[in-house]
Amino acid sequence: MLVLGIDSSCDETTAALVRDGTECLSSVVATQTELHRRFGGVVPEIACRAHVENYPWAIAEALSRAGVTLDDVDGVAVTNRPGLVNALLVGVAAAKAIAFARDLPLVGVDHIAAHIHASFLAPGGAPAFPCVALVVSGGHTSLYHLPSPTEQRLLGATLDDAAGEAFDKVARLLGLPYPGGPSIESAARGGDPTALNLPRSRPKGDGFDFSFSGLKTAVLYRAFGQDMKPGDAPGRTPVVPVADVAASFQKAVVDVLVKRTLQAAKHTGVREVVIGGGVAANTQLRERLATKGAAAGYRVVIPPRELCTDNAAMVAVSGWFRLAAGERDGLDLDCHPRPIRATPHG
Amino acid sequence: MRARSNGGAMSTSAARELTLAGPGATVVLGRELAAALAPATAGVLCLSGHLGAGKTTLVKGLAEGLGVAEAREVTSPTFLRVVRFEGSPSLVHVDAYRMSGPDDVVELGLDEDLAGGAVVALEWPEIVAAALPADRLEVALAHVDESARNVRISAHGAASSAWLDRLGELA
Repeated sequence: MLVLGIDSSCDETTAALVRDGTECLSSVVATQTELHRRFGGVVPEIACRAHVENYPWAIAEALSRAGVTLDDVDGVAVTNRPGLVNALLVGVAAAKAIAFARDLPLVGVDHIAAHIHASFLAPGGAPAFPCVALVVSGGHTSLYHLPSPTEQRLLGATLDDAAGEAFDKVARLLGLPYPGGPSIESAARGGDPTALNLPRSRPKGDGFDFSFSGLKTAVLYRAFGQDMKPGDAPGRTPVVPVADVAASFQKAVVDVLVKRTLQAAKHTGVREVVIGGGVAANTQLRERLATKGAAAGYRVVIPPRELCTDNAAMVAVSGWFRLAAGERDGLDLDCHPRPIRATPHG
Repeated sequence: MRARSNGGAMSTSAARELTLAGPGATVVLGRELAAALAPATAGVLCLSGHLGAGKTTLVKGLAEGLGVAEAREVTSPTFLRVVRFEGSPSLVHVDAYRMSGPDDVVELGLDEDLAGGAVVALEWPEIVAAALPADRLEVALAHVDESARNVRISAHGAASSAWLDRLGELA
């Protein structure tokens, strides 16, 4: 079954073609940079307008790179939650139009579940179930227990900032470019990860929640001194070398993510651990989770970097599960800003 | 929460200044702002302050106080820019950090919310200043040290002044 996946939940407009949930034929990511390059003009910052201009090209390009036409497509999967509703609407409208015009089955997909399903395209092979999955990106930091590929039970989530957002904001404090993930990772090379004494905060309760807001504030004061006024930070030289600040911050985030994920795996008694989301492209996180996970006896499934950041191949995989099970959504498919929240354990 | 002084120097309306000992006190202030809203069912709360000042923490308390069922899910809206919690009243949590200017407010369909359709809590208001309604409560959070924050609440317009007065009666 060949599935066309479409995602416009935040900044990127993406389209992809995946066969049987395992074979990725094409995955196109149209960023605002891409739009800028093609039109050579100033691009509106807000995603919704950019999506409207981007999606026809993204879908055509995905079909072309896969060497197929709409005649070959068996179903359409589109992200309809969570995200910025005005942005989601663009992808959903496009998916509905194609499904209606071509009389194809249509299914809506949860973007977070899709990040987990990206693991089905990992080079080492798909995960086995049950498993524990960490989804960590600019907008989300959540741990799930998955009894099967289509059931997600929320174990815990960030109570304040997402890990990716902490990377972006610390990068800004240090005067490093956006997005913060790659710039912190690169600035951290050669830095001393023990230079700053940063908290590994654990929210109250016995759940698997995260908190990164205090870490951001701690970086500010440890890096710039206690008399620091936050507004002065960007552009000022920290009292500690930037490489050391970046390395210490990165280690603090990775420590918490790896520790909490493996605790969740132990708690649920699974043997497999999956990771997804833009922050899962971070080398330190990939290496540490792989090493520590393997040492604890878990099989760790990590998608290729380009399938960790936002993409529609993961949406096509996620949609394939629903389509293969005979599920269908109508042309009245709605968009939702927040994810489906399964009840936390206990 | 402890009121240190009630300033009156501003040309607009009343203002209050408080010192918050830590994040817990910031949540309490959010709850009190929610309690002081009634009988009004809508209002615009602008939250300024640098990274880590406690803007999102205050909105968490506000959501709890308004009885938002998903109050625990109030997290930083920076990535999405707008997160809407339906209810009575509905709470719209906006973050202008990644917006380019006032036009984005219209692009995101926030004009109705800002015109009295919901309780709007808006972080980084200075980025979209021209799109903000004249009647609004401004909450400026400032770092004192790593945990303590100074907060200055000022009302602009009649409805917000009444909101601030009711907050004063609670404290």
